[in-house]
Amino acid sequence: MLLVKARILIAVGIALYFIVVVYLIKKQRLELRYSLIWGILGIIFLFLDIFPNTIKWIAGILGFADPVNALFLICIFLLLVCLISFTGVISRQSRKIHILIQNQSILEKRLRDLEEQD
Amino acid sequence: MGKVLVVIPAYNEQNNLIDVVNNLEKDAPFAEYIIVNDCSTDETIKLCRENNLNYLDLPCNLGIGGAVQTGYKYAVDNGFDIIIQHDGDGQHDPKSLADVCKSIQDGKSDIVIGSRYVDKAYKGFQSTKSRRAGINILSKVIKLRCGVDIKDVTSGYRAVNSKYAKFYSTNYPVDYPEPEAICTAALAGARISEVPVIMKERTSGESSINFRKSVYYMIKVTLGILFAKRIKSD
Repeated sequence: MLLVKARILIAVGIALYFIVVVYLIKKQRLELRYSLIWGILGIIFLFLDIFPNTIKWIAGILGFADPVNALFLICIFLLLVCLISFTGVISRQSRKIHILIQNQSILEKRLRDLEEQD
Repeated sequence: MGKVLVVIPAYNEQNNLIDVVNNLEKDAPFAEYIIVNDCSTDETIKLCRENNLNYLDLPCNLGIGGAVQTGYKYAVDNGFDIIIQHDGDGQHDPKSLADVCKSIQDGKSDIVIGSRYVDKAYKGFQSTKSRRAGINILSKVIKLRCGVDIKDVTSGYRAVNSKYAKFYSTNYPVDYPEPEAICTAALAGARISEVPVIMKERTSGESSINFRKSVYYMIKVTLGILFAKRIKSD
């Protein structure tokens, strides 16, 4: 269903994507452990690009008339997985920030009390 | 009697705070207090400094849950035996302080909720009809989920012993925490009771909950109760 031209274009796009991700990690703009999910996503897209029949196969199993629709659905699903993973990261961070703020205020009070004693 | 700490969460309470502290010192001289300033945008912190009040100052706004939890942490660090949550807006009457402490002192309860609804002889501020209906529903949900029968589940006037203060210092719901906190403590095995207290209508400032928020409140709190995790207190 995909022309060779389109497939090469997509491959180039994925290569660029990998270059950007690796560049950002090297520059420490992305933390490696949070970027792993982007790497996995890229590998999946690359796989689908090299073996486009997988999409046809999946579409057949799921009962999609048009494989392109299956492709879109897979993409949306993978992005949802990414978003959930990030919500998890945000939740963990907000809990940690909470604890830091609370402890900071308790320490600040102790410091004030100590200064008053002197 | 043991060391009693009154935790007063305060967000923009410049008009009420001094009265609240004065009343506390007058009506409940056995208790110490700590104000937790939740990054107020008004003069609350200035008042605390100028009047040399006992306060904690949160550098960022955490909401009522985070502020109250800070009070519990402070209480645990400083070895208090009974911790009382007491709003900074003047709705709670310090005269009831001894009443909410009593059952804990006798060793009969771990947590005592100061309630508007258990004894109608206490004619204080009873809240609006729709709000009472909402509280009623939450009360039923909590009974269903945790098996404890508490009428005034949203009351922020409550006393907690040191064991559950320690529990709350590491596990406390983030926003609209009151009903959920009853639930998590009950699931951890706390003995929770309810005593009548007098509540006044707020003298100034506005209630933080309007209609749109109250819909969110009901949904969030109900889900929070249903999803409450069983955490062991030790």
